[in-house]
Amino acid sequence: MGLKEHVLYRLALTPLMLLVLLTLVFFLMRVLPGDPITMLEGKNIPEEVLARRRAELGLDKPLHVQYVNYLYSVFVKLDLGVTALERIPVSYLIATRLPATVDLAIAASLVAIGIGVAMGLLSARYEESWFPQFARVYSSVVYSIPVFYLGLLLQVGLARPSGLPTTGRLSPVNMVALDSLPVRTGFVLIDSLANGRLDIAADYLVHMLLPALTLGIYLSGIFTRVTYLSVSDAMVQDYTRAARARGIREWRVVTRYGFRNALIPLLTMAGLQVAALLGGAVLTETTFNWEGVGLLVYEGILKRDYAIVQGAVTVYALIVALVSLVVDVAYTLVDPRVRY
Amino acid sequence: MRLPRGFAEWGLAVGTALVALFVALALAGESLVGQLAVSNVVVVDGRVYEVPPLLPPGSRLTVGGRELVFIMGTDQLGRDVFARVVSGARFVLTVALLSTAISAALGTILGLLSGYVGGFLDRVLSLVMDSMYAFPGLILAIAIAALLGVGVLNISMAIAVVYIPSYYRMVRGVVLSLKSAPFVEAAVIAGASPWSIVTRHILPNVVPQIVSLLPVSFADAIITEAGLTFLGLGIEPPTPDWGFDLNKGRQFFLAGYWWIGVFPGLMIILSVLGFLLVGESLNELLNPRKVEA
Amino acid sequence: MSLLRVQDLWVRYRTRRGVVEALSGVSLSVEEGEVLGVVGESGSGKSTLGLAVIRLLPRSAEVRGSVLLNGKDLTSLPEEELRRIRGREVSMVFQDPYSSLNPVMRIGDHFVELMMEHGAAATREEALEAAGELLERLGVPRERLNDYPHQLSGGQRQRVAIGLALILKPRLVIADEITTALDALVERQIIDLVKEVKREYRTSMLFITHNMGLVAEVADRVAVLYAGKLAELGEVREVVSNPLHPYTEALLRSVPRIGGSRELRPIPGEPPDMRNPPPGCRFHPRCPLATERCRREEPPLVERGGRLVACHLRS
Ligand SMILES: Nc1ncnc2c1ncn2[C@@H]1O[C@H](COP(=O)(O)OP(=O)(O)OP(=O)(O)O)[C@@H](O)[C@H]1O
Ligand code: SF4
Ligand SMILES: [Mg+2]
Repeated sequence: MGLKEHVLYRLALTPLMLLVLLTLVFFLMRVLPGDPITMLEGKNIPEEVLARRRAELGLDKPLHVQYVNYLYSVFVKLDLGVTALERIPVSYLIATRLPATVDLAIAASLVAIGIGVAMGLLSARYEESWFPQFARVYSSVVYSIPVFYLGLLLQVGLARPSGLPTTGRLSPVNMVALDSLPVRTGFVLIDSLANGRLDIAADYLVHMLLPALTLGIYLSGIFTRVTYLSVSDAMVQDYTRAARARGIREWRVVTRYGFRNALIPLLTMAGLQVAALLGGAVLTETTFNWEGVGLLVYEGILKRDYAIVQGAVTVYALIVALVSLVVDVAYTLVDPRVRY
Repeated sequence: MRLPRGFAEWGLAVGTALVALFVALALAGESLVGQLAVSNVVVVDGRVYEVPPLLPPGSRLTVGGRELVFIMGTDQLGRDVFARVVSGARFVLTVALLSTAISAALGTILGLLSGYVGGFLDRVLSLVMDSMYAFPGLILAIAIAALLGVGVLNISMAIAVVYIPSYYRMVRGVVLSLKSAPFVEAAVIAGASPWSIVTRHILPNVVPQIVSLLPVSFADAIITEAGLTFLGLGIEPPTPDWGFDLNKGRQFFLAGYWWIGVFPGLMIILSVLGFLLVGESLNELLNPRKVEA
Repeated sequence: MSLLRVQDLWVRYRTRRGVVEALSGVSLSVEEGEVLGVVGESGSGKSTLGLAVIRLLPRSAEVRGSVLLNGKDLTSLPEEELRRIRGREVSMVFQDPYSSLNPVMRIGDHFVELMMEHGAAATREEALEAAGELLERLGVPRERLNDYPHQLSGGQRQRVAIGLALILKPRLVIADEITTALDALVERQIIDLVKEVKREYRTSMLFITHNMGLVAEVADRVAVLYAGKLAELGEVREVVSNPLHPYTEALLRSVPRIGGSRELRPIPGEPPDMRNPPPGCRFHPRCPLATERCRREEPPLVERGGRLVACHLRS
């Protein structure tokens, strides 16, 4: 199978996976007690009001009809529906929230990979020192800290003394200013820079600092561990010894032989961490009131708004599928032995 | 991991101590601290006293001639933080135990079925499990916890669902590798029933692997539980719970009453760390990696 | 002055299950342009000797004694100075060609890296040119420079490894069982290559093998190692035609010899557990000629007709 066929095959699998997840969520949300109307208006609204509102949302139909309708609109009409209460298109809601989550995820990944790779490489290079032990304790402790707790600690310990913002994505003034910019993609950084508003961009970065650190540190433990393990794995291979026998500099041995070969397991791990990243993002967004998809889905769940939850699940599933596709393609770059 | 053997042993010792502490707290904590965990009312000689909220750690209070010491202060409702922190172990550990048991049991059964029966069933189950595995587990747990509502069993099930695929994948892998093992094939040829093959030949090889997964699984369950209760899901006041206390006390914590948040958070960290250390150190001691350089 | 002089070399490995004494006071030398064969069974300490010379033993190894290359003691050289000697003055080829090249680096890049690190080439192109030329002489098409290791056969990879060991024209090459992982046909080709290299480059070599037959073919002198000690050392022709040590004789009988008519006999018994070697002569539990004295007293290494041998029968 060539790379192209492989990519197509993986793409074909994505709808299947999406189908599984949506089915799961659909039945969970329908079978279990509670619906958006009673959640909003309380349990004792008049019978006929309830019936009318349910009919509007199509909730009066038999379950299997709802299910088929739902799948039809997602897969065929590519329509994620509207929210139960305000009747806002879910795709619009998600589109406005997604950039914030993507920004956060990217920034956090950079933090996690930066810390993890640096600590992992240093551990492998200075194997005999106290550093590997320190890195190990670090990664275990960091793994044990709940993201939200880390977030709260940073808010109390860092933001309060230094005056960094603790919540939100922008100062209120800039929020308004952003709305009136001519060029708009939804990505604050891109928009502010494209419109020459460096001040907004800076404000955004300042707001992003703590959430990104929180989520990044949370994930850095596992990156530290895996980097160290796979680099030191590569460091005991014959080719590493052979390189030393040729008088290759030690740092170069660590990077070109150790790290370069460790990229393969690291990549696998990075792909698997996407789930942790998105899950952690929900807690981080809640802690910092960072208005992304995570916060949206959390609110949607509390409101029993099926459409929001299903829409978010769809988007998450697509992200997961996309990332695993990127990882697959990246293998061919990182490991010359991989041919699909 | 290329570390001195002493390090793993050290980790095992610390981990075991932590785990023992938390198990002890879960069993006896509540009876140790009594009412103070759930109410701010102290009754001495038939007279009722109210404990003021937000007392800093180390505060002393004399009520009816008796001196009360709040070594971790009191929370926004005047409840003893120490008492809540101590008795909070029970809910978390119960949930961790239940959810791990559920996911291990279901994952194992499905994995055995899938691996042994194979064919279409295996394909469908694998697709479902792989989809769940790739999907952000916490989000799944949030959804299920929100739908099921409060209660020990409900939150346990929400967490369990997330970890079923891990057990499923591992068990299925073991079964597949064993199915063609000579001793299993011999049993098949000898006419052993599928049931006896699974229980006599396959299960004994699966169990050690499951057991080695348990401690880390426990740690994961605790951290997921904390996440859910921090979001206010799965639990009802005034049940003491670390994540939930962080949720309720968040504003006060951020406003500078640090003791409200710091102590419950530390408890989460230490309990997760305890199980994590036990799991990792055991794995390291039982399957040491080659140390030759 | 000998090119390489190993003096009273002791190597101990600290392991979880005790201390392994892999080399116990080995002394030998390699002259300019000479191939010294080192033979012995598995576990006799051959690789340990090779790695000790180039100072690549694992950290668990404790080393005593000296290794003089060109009069410089490698055991006490600072790490950076040693690094510059490795590859340029002494290099090593390992047993397994399947794992001794970096899987994520092109063959050419192995050469470029090596030559640039040692300042032997100013540009990539220059390095590739030199590498291509050498590879062709070693029987590997120049185009292979663009390939990754996994695209080459085992034999080709070992030729590449040999090329890497030769390109900086070191004075000493340590070859540790370089044909053991290869099949018989390829082994033959590599041995022919070694002979050719010896003829053309006049490189000195420490040729490590467990196969007496190969030693007879490529080496000038041979050192027979048993359980971390020298059993016999001398001119190959003499050692092969008239072994003085019973172990050497047993070794010779255990390999097929070109034109030999003697029946093939494996050496009875097992090599000793090196954590706890036998007292007296280490070979005595397996030696057909062992006497009471052999069990008690360690035979000294003595000279007998230009040869060194450690056996009570010869003293
Ligand atoms: N890293 C190590 N740690 C502990 N013991 C070791 C180590 N390397 C080698 N040894 C032991 O030292 C002794 C000599 O080993 P060495 O590898 O030098 O033998 P060898 O002659 O090269 O054998 P082979 O033909 O198997 O390659 C053996 O008993 C071996 O078990
Ligand atoms: S010293 Fe004794 S035991 Fe050792 S080789 Fe000679 S005869 Fe055999
Ligand atoms: Mg060897």
